[in-house]
Amino acid sequence: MNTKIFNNIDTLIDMATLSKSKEEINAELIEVNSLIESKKKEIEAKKQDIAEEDYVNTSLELVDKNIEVSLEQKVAKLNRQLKELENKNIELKENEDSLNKEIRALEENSEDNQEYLKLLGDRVSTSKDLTSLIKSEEDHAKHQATILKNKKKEYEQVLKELELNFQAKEELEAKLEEYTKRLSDIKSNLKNPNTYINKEQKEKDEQSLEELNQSLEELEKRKLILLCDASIIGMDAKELVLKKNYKEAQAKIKELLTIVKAKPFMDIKDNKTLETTLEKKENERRELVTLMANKNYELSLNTSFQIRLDYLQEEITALDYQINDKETTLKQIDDYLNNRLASDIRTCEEDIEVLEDFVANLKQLDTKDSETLKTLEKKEQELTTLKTILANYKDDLKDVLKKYQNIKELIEQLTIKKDNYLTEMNNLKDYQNTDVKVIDIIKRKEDEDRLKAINEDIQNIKARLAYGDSPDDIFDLIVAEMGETSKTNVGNKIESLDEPLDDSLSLETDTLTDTLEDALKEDIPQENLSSVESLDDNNSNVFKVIDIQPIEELRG
Amino acid sequence: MTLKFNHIITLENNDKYVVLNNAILGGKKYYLSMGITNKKANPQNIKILEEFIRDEELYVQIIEDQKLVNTLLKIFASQNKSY
Repeated sequence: MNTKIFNNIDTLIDMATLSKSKEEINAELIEVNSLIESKKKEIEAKKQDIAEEDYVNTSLELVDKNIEVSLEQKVAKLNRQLKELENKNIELKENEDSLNKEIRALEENSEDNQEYLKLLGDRVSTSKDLTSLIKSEEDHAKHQATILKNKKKEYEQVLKELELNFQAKEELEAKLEEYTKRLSDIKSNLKNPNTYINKEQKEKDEQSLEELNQSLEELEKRKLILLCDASIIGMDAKELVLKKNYKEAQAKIKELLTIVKAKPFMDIKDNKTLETTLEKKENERRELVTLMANKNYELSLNTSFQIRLDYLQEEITALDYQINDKETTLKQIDDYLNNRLASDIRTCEEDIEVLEDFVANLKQLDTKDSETLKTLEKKEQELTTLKTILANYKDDLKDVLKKYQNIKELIEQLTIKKDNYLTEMNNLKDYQNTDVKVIDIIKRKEDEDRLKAINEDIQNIKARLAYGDSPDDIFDLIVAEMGETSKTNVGNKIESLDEPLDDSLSLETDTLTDTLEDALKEDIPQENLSSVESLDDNNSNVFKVIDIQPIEELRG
Repeated sequence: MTLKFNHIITLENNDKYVVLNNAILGGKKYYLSMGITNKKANPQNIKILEEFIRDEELYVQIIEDQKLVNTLLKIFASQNKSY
């Protein structure tokens, strides 16, 4: 009984389509466990690194400290210079005041002297003794004026110096303000511990830690999947059966059944439905293969080129037809000219010549014979008529020649047009040939993926059909065996799924193109690929003509 | 037997066409034809027919290849222009 139960459990394990044996799973589990351990260690190490690392950029701090010292020195120096300037300014200011006073005194003195000299001058006319005094006083006044002039110069110099000092002071104060501000910033940076933290490195480390955590999570998931693997569950169920713990065994088998039913098409009980779905999928695959084989996946970057080429080809064919047609007409005209008109004209000219000779001979006779005169008159009339006929012929000849010339010119024009089209077409073809073909890889990949998905579905349906019974049926059989309520044998031969069901269906993307070509050869009748122009008995556009009658009969 | 200008042809499916023009292209005979409905020509139903003989019977094929149709229409149009 256990053998039957075990066989059915094995069938369910097979249905879960896991090709791995328990040993392989165990081997992978060991590998995953060791990877998990190594990841955990890496995470711990990273966490420790992050904790120990203060991420302070010491070189930046050192630079700022140097700048601080330098700025402090500069600020002190500026303050000293400013102090010196201020002292100098005070000195200059005092000097300026004193000079100002002196100048004012000298100016007052000079005015007094002028008045005194004027009075002395008025008296000179009355007293000669005053002359030497005037001379002495004038010399004194001159001397005073020179002193005043020098003092004024000195005063201007002091004023200029004062102005320059003020400018220098302003510049020094601006510099001092700038340095003081920079110094204050640097000092605040140096006081703030976060200023010199290496944020970039910190973020990098945190991201690396997050990645490690993610990969650990993935490994844990994989471990969980491996632990829940169908073969492990199946083994557990078998152990429970051996221990006759049927209740727990049933729970385990139910677990296994859930895994199996999660597989595509494994939950479908009815084989008829599966067969219909398989047929549909196979048709779908055939259509897709045909579609893909007919697609060149070239990106239509030069559609306009192709449209123009088609247009040119149509025009050239039509022009060829017209040229041939016109050449045929020319030949017909040529034949008509040579064989008919020219010959008729020649005959007419010969007749006229003969008649002219005859008339001339009659006239030479100079006879009064009434019959002869009558004949002469008649022949002259004939001659006139013949000349009119000849003139008419010649008019016709002119018309035909004109027509001939017109057609010839038209042929030339059509040939020029055709040559232009041919040149353009060749240029476009040259360009197309040099143009690199651009393949729509995305579209092709989409189709390939779709084909792959259909193939997988077909494989899955075939795999499910190969078992005959559905997973639910097998589960019921196991339960029945365990409960000894039924002796039904599953009895269906289960094909091994280790080998591919159909080699031609196991399409890999790399070999897809080859398979497509093979499939095309098999699936598409060659005649369907031939030109539309070719006639085909099955072509719905072909009809037998059963009657032909002139249009007049219809009217009648 | 061959299709003729200004003649009416009846096909095995009982469709009728009046032949308006003809052209030879690539050794094949093509005819510009207009369908006839209720004994009246229908300008909405213009077809180009290719004539061929099989087992001594006359057949036509309705041309649907657009490129060929374009070319033939140009040829028929050029034939209508008088020199």
